[in-house]
Amino acid sequence: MTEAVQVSVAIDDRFLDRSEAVKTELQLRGLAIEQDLQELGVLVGSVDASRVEELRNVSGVLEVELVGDVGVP
Amino acid sequence: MNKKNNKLNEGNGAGAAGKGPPKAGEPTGRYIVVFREEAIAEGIAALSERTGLSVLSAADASQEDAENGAIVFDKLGIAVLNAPPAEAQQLMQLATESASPFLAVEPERFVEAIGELLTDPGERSEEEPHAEDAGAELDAPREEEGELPNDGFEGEEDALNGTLTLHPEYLAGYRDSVIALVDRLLAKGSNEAKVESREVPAAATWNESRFTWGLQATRSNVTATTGAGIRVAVLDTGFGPHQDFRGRAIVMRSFIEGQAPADGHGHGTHCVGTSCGPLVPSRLPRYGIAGRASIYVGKVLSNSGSGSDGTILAGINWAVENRCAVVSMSLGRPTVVGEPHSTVYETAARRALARGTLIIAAAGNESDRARGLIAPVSAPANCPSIMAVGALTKDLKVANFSCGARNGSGGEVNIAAPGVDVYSSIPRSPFYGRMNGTSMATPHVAGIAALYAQRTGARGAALWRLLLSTARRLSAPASDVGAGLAQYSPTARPSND
Repeated sequence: MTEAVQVSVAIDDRFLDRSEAVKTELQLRGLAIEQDLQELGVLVGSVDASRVEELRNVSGVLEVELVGDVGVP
Repeated sequence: MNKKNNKLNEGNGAGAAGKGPPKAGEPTGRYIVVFREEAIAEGIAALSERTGLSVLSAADASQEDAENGAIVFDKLGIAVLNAPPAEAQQLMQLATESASPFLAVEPERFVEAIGELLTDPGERSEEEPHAEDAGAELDAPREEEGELPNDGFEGEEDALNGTLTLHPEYLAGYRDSVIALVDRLLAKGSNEAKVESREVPAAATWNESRFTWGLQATRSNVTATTGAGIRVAVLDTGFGPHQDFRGRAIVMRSFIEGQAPADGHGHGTHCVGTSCGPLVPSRLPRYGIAGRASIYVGKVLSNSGSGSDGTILAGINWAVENRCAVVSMSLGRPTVVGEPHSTVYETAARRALARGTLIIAAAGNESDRARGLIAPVSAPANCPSIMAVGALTKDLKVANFSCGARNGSGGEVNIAAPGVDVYSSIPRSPFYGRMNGTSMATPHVAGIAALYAQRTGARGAALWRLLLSTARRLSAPASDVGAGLAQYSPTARPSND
């Protein structure tokens, strides 16, 4: 088992009204949802590094990105 | 050719004949030619050919050579020469042609140290020209004086007497700027030292006794509009405490586990201050723009100034949830050339914009323009749906550290605002401090956005367009400053498209 990474997931515009189904599918594929940002149609959670690509392929997912650090410029 | 026997180090006493030593601002009779930096050799050759003068490097020239020829400062790409006015006029005409190696030709003028004259008032140079010659020298340059800027900033021009009185502060600032410029060039230590020909130092003196220079420059200090009723979210290191905000509507939320929303860093309080500081602070100068806006403080950066995309996105979500018209984000991470923007941030920002929440973010401080490095705009400001703000100096030039549009597709700088020596609130004694950064420029734009949002009702993309269309055009390129210096206009209205 590889390490868990934190990811952000953007739900596709066309699936915003079906976001529950998308979330369920993502969870089935190993995403532990930490934040459900309803206003933005974005999820933040953690998943096994080896399954990131799999999440991208879930129907209704626009993109999956690794969460990075941000700071005072 | 004029043979006034000028010495480069002394004036020719061309002050109005018989009235004593030269006064600051009066023409010396010589001319300064600035070459295009990529055409210095060509310019020297052209100068020599046109004037018939021998053009010598300042390092090689003797005093005598200086009197009869032209001296060129190789590393600055600038030449000083004696030339009759008609010839100078020809050179000036050449400078206006686009392919010309001459960038500018200007009459050399006397400058004066503060409170003292360069020459002893009692002494008259034996080489002082005949009064008639001096008069002739004065008359001709005066024809060109119409080109001098005369907005009262440097001084007052008296066309009748052919004099220009310069304010001492201007002279001091000019002197300091030239010293700094030359020091910087000499520090480079190589023949590659280049100076932007248009980088003629300008001294900006702002009176900050009542308003910070940023409020003055953005014209956001002289309006009855206060941002009342507009919710401004500042996503940063939190806020306060600060005495100037007692009784103010502030909603605070921390997204940092284990940390309260109070600002243990300082950055967040400074940004809240600039965007939403009070109309009447407990002491002058006033430093905040939207003095009656409702403040939403989202602590998305820890007390050590760090956060993650997770906390930022959560903060944005919270701002949209609370129907904030403006989100100010003085945060980010560096990018590299060729790097695409984040799809997740762009998606979030696009949706926020459509919901009436405009996100304004710092372009980033990764550049070192003095060393030739212009870094690409940082994330998440590099998203097309996030407004990226560059930083300006007090001379309204792009700040050395300000990132530029090295990447397209969202990586543009959209607008610029004051970002150097910005005075605002901080959460501990002495409770006011000055900071530099695109972080400081960003809340200026956020405050102005709040004013527009209140007065016009504009939101989202319409508010974006209003900010850009009312910005003041600067001479700097759009890749550095976008639409220009953000301004509040009390009459501008959003367009209907």
